[in-house]
Amino acid sequence: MPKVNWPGFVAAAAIAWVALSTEPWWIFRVGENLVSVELSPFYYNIGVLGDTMRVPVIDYLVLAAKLLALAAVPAMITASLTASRKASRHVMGFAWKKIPLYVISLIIIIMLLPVFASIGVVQSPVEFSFEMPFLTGTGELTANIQGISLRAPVLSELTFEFWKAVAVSIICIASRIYHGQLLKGDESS
Amino acid sequence: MSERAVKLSMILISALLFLAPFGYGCLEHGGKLDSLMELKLPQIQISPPHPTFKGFENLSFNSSTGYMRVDLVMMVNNTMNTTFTVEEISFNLTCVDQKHPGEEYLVAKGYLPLPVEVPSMESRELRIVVETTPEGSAHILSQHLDVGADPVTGEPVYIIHFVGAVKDGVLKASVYGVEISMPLTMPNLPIYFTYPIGGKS
Repeated sequence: MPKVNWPGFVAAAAIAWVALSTEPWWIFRVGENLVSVELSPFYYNIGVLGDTMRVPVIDYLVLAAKLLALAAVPAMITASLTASRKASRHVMGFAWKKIPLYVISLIIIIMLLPVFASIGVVQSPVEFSFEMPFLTGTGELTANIQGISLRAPVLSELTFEFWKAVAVSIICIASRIYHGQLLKGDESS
Repeated sequence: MSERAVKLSMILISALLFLAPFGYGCLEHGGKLDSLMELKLPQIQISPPHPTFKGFENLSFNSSTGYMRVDLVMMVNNTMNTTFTVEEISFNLTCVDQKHPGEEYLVAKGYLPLPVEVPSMESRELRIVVETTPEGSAHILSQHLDVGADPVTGEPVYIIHFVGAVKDGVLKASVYGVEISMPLTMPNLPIYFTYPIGGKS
């Protein structure tokens, strides 16, 4: 009887659940509607002074990320149904990595933001400091221009959607491990 | 299908799904890669409010204690396309009269009792309450209070006059959740009030 990777079906459903969501994973705000960024691999919204900004390259990047994640769903199902075949590990390899990769990429982007902010502070002709929260929390942007001081609160928040994606990543990793065990069992028998 | 073919097809599918949206985007933008990166940001214009002096109103004066209270009325314009709020105005009014060179007396304190919202492209009045301190009241009584005649009605009036200076002043406003804080100083402010003896101004 062909072996089936049952956790793979759960992972496939979970990937679809996350990929079809249009909620942000991370929210970043400066002041009230001064600057707001809502970001996930499948959705983004940049707001400046209450107006929404679109960047075509990010539109296509988001679309590519969504297509790849959605393609991972049938790939995960196919790999799970053909778990006894050696070639299925490549299909599984394509499918399981997507969401964990997106989670890691987002964390790297958020972690690099203070670096970009500090470059901005160094290069700016205006005297200002940027106290960035690490991953999540509140900070402050302060600037001093000719004796006039400006102070704006900064908020960085990882949403429930992000933690949902983390949970889905764990399911994907678990199904990959189980898939490996199924293949190993086949090889040894 | 061989294992190698599966591996290759997975790589090709990944590349195709990743690159196809960009290819479509390039075609849609007439092959101009620059336009894909374009971000048109609106100009962030945060202008700090600049109140202008309008006048003094509602003077009340107690000739026995020297206590004085007056509304300093200022106008503020909002040239931004959003509402801003003047949250706080506070300052010390000192007497820098030439009678006592080098000396300064804290005569009064000024404050904005309530925040004032200024809608976009509109102007609002700021009524800043200026009240003498106990020391300031005593200083006015002893140094800067005269009795004279009202130039219009000829009625007898108290005349309060001195050269003031606005010190340690701060104006706080907020717009888009950004708190703007700016110093408020006025080195020479001639103060001249008349108050009817035994009556209301």
